[in-house]
Parts: sequence; C-alpha cells; structure tokens
Amino acid sequence: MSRMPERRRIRVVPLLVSLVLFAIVMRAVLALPTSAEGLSGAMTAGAKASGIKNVVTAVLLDFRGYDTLLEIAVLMLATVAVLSLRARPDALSRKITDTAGPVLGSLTRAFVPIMIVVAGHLVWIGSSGPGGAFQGGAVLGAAGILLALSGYARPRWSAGRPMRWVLAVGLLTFIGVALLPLFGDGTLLQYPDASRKDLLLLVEVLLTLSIGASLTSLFLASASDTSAEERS
Amino acid sequence: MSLVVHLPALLIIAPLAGACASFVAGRRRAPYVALTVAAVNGTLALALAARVLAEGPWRYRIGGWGAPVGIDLVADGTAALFLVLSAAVGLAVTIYASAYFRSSDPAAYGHGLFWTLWLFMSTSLNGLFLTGDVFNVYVCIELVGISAVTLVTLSGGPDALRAGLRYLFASMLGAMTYLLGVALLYAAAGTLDMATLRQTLVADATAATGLAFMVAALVLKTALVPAHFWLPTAHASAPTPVSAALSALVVKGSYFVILRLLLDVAPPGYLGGVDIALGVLGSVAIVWGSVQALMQDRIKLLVAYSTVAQIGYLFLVFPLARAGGDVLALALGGALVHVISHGLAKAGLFLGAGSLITRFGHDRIADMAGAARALPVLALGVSLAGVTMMGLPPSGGFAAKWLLVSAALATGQWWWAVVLVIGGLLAAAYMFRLIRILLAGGDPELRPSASPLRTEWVPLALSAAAVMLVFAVPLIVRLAEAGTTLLAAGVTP
Amino acid sequence: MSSHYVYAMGGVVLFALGTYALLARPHLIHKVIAANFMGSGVFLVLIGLGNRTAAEPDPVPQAMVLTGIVVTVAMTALGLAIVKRYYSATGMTTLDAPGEDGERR
Repeated sequence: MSRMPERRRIRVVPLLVSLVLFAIVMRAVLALPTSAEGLSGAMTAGAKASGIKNVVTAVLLDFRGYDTLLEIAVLMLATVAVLSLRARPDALSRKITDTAGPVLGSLTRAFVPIMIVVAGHLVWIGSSGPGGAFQGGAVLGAAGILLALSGYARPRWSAGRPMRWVLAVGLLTFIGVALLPLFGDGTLLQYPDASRKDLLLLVEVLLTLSIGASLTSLFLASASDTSAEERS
Repeated sequence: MSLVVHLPALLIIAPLAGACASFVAGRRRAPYVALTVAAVNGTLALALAARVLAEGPWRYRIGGWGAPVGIDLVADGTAALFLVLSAAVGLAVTIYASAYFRSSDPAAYGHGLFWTLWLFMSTSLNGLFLTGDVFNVYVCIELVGISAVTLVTLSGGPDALRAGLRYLFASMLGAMTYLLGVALLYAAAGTLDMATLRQTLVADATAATGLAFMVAALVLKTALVPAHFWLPTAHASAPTPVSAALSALVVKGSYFVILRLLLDVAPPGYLGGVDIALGVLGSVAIVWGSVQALMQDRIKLLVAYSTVAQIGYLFLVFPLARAGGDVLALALGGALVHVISHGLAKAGLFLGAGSLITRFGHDRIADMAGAARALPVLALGVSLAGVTMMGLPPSGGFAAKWLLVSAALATGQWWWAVVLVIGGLLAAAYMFRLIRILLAGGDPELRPSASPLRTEWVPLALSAAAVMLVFAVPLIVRLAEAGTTLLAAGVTP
Repeated sequence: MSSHYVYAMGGVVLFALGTYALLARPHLIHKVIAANFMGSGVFLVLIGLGNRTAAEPDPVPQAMVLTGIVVTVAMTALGLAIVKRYYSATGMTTLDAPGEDGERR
C-alpha cells in the first residue's frame, strides 16, 4: 500500500474557491424568510386524497413516483457498472475468508433472520409511517454484506444469471405497473384508485428485494484480494 | 387517450425496459436488444416531432397529478430536435458498436455489459430532453454521469481509468453544486416545476443564487472553458462508440437544460451579466480549443479538442438572446442547427477516427498518410465531417454559422460575428491538416487490417447527413419556434 | 433565528469543506469522501430549510434527500470501484504521480 503523502500544504486556489462559495451560499440562506410553506400544503391535501397516510411516502411513490423510478434505475445502473469493472472473469471466484471467523459466523446466524424480519416490517409500515422500500432494502443489503463477510455469500453469485434477475425484477415490475394505466384512460404511473394500495405494495416488496440485492452485489462485486491481483 | 399523447413516457420507458432486458438477456443477445430499442427509439422520436409540427407542443402529466404537485414531461420543438438527434446518433453508434465490440476475450470491454450501460445512458438522455422538473434533472444528470463515466473506463487501461476518474470527480462536483442550487431555488420559490417557476420567479437574491449555481454546475458538465479540463482525455480514452456518443450527445444534454433555464424559465436578464459572460467564455473556447486541436499528434485528442471548440459556438446564443423576438429566433435556430450538425458530424468523425485507429493499429496522425488510397470510404467520411466543422457551404455547419452571424449583425453585436469567422478559419486549419495527410503521400503498399464494412459506412452516413442537414434547416427553425413558448402554454392531453 | 437555521448553516459549512477537499486533496479516496461531505451538506441545507413550515415539516425536501442519498451511494460505489481498479492497474492512489503537484487536474 502506498503511504499517504507526508506534507499537507493548504492549497490556495481551492481554499479561495470554497471560502467564496461559503460566503455566497450563507448570504443566500440567511436572506430567506423564516417561515415558508413550499409545497407542503398541496402535498398534505393530496396525500389524504391518495389514501397513503405518510406524506413522505406519498410524495416518493405517488406524486413524484417518476423520480423514484429513475432512482431505482440509478441504483441498478451502479450495480451494473461495478460488475463491468471487475478485472478478470475469475476475479470473483475466491470466497471471502479473511474476515470470516467463529464469532462473526454465529453473530451472523443470529442476526440475519432478525434483519430480514425488520426489513419486512419497514416496508409494511411505510404506508403509515416512516419506512418503505429503500429503508427495508438498506437493511436487507446490510444483512447480505454480513453474509458476505462471514463467507456464506460468494462473490461470484453477484455476476450470475439468477442475481441478474433479482436485480432487475424490482425495476421491471415498477415499469409494468407504471405502464398499466396507459391501457385504460390514465397517464404513466397514474394508479387506478381501486387497486392503488395493492399495486404499490407489490412494487415496494419487489423493490426492496432488488435494492437489497443491489447493495449486496455492490459489495460482493468489489470484493477481491487486492494484494494477490496482478498489475495489468 | 390516443397512443401518440403517451410518446414522451414511451420514449423513456422503452430504453429503460431495454436496459433491464439486455441485462438479463446475457452478452450474446444484448446487442439485438439494443438494436431493437434503437429502432423503436428512432420511430418514437420521429413520431413526437411530427406531432409537435402538426399540433404544437404539449405537457404530459405523470401520475395524473400535474405540476407543481407531480412531475410533468414537456414535449416541444426543442425537445423534439434533441430527441431525434439522440435517436439518430444512437442508432448509428449501436450499429457501429455491434462490430466494434466483437472480441474473443470475455473480460474485455466490461464483460459484455456495454449494451446495458449504453441503454441506461439513452434513457437518461431522453429523460433530460423531456423533463419539466428541476429536481428530476438532477436524477437524470446523475444517471447520465454514472453511465458515461463507466463507459469511458470500459477499455480498462490506466489512461482510460484516469480519464474516467477525472470525469467522475467533475461529475460529482457538478451534481452536488446543482443540487445545492435546487435547494436554494426551492427554498425561495416553493416549487420545482419549470413552468411554475417561469410564472412566479421574482427578483430574489436566494433564487438567483440558486439558479446561478444550477447553471454553473451545468456549464461544468458541458465542458465550457475553463471547466473543460476533464473532456479531452475522457473523450479520447473512451472506446470509439463511446467517444462518439459523449461528444455528440452527452454534452448536449446538460446544454439543453441550460437552454431551458436561461431562455425559458428565467426572465430575460435575470442573472445579470451571466449571458454575456457565457458568450465571452464561448469565444475563448472556440479559439483555445481550435489552437489545442492544431497541436495534437494523435487523432482522437484532435477530435476531442475540436469538441471543446465547437461547444463554444453553443454559448454564443445567450448574449444574442437578450434582444428577444426575431433575433432570439435566429440565434436559437442557429444554436439548434449547430447542435444537430455538430452532433452528426462529430459522431461521424469520431467513428471514422476510431476505424482508422483499428485499421492502422495506432493513432498517430502523421503515420496515417495516404490512407485515402486504401480506405476511400473512411477518408470521404472524415472529409465530409470536416466540411461541416469548418462551416463550408453547403452544409449544416454553414447554415448554423449563417444563422448565428445574422443574429449577431442584427443586434449590432458584430464582435460575435468576428469570433464566428475566426472560429471557422481555425477549424479549417486543423481539419485541413488531418485531411491533407489522409489524402496525399504515404506508402503505396499500405495494407491496413480488415474490418467489417459497417465501420466504414456508418461514419460516412453520419457525415453525409450533417452536410445534407442544410436542406432541413427550415424544418428545424419551425420546430424551434414551437419551443420557447411551450412552458407558458400549459396544454394538457 | 430559529433552530433549523443551525442545520442549514452547518450544511453550508460541510459543503464548503467538501469542495475544498475535492479540489485540493490528491488522494483519490479523500476525493470520494469529500464528495460525500458535499452531499451531506446539501441534504442538511434541504432539511433545515424545509423545516420553516408552520406545522409538519415540508415533505418535498425530505423526499429529495431520500432520493439524493440513494444516488450519492450509487455514485460513491462506482467511484470506489474505479479507484480500486485504478490502484490494481497502476499501484497509484493519486491521479498524478506523487511528487508532482497533485491537483485535481
């Protein structure tokens, strides 16, 4: 490993740039009125109409669902990108053993089932309180990383066909649900009132799966023993 | 509702679904998915342009909510032009890449994931051209950035990785600055929708600061001098199809948003002297980029610096737009014709240069002498691309310069016309140098290696299209006029 | 001055710090962390300013921050993967060789 550079000079131009930026933004922030409603009024009214009790979830999935759709695309894209960056086809063939051990192993066996249940709860509670697909997916991802660190999950699973399907299923389902209204009288993502809750739940569950798989795959696909890699 | 109304949504969903499909389809079938999507994308883009011409622009309310609560897609003339360009270049690049990426080494070029990355990039570009919401722009820009950076690194060599890292850090800086700008703008104006902003934006220090930050970040992403430092190495070290897409399309994506923000959303003169500053920087870019291009020994770096120079032309529209009315129409028409002609010609030039590199096995311009004898189709493609770059009549590049010069003279700001002429002369200098070497001299026994036919014909087709664009100029101007009024129109399906 | 301004101002400080580090520090991992600093700064500004409402906090900035966090994670993951690949290809942890003036350029 290369050592960090010894001297740390303060570089003048970046310092000036950040000081100027700081001053400009501070002035802009302090110039704002101390109270402002923004869109919160309209959003709260709309949330009541859509039947989702938690306003933030309503904004994320209903009003600005298109942003969420693209955001899932970003996460999936990052996973594809990291997969494309692995150096050799067999770069993922080694099991992760440097971190595995008896203590980590038993803790993993104890915690991962609990984490899965917590993830499910976070998704379910999302309609009436803070929670949702991303939160649940993050917990699932953490569980996946624990499994990787203790050697249960193998790096090469991140590049295989089954994992590709798990990664894609969330986005594909979301796209399918988004296109459904086009067959009727609605625009993209205009969920019909009757089936709104069920459709959203389906999308959220599959998204949670995909997000968890993405986060785990991001970790697995980067996992390689650097010191043993050849310099190409 | 008829299907035509849904075109904006379909233009985004089609490549996105295609990206997922290509990912699960595996490396052998992915190119076919990409070709299908490219064809579908082209059809949809043309259909959208046809409808804008026939019935005018319209807004598409996603989720049925409508702005400012929901997100609207905006289908107008300017968007249609960029979409058609993106579809055309995308199709050409897809066809070229299907030949370029045939390699026996499974690890080469990202383990066959080029197609998925490419389709994500197509989705995000279409998203940028259609969106009417400033936060949605952020998400699309991040999509473009991540896919573009990864595509740059795809060859895996240290130069490509270094160029990709520089591009990544510039992207990160730009994205965070843009988001800060959105935060300030929303805090001051209370909405994220472009049309609502247009109606409610008042002279407010915080909103202006936010807008300025947004524009500055987009200027960094469009690589306007002096924020161009990341572009030459990124565009030159990327695999050839990626270079073509980066120069022709990706920088135009952030430019499109600047057009929207400064010409449609903000009232004229809202940001003070920023439009003049952009014009000045554009002029510097034209001169600096051309001078740098003249000094390059390696063909892809020459073409990349040419992009830096040509981007400068795009920013001349802002000082000219101040005058409003007919001059704005002229200037905007000139900028849009330039976007399309440069997009087509630069893609043709990059693909042609890449083919030359593949056939010769090296990228030194001086050692490609006499290539025209052995590779006449390629040499013709490069020469025709040069015609558009120099702005020689009759070509799309000439039409663009003509419109911009007319706008400059109409406002009495003759100095921009001088810059345009100087730019044309400098472009002639570096393009002639390249073409002269290709056409004359060299070893009569030169036998470059073989390559599939389409790597020769696709660059020629693109360059020829750029030249023929001059016949399409009236159509482009008509579409452009269906542009700047759209945000106020508020027409719903 | 209400308490939410403290968060907004803290966010601005973070943003400025991150900008300095992204531009000035040559080590690649530092640059990636610096970008995350900038991101956290912007999120704090969004949340702080979104708290100026009379009753419930404004949900739109919260949704923006949630989206922003996911996008930043994605970008960070990509950055780290490229840095790792670059390191294994060149053995370097900076863009230019140490000893040269390692700016961001």
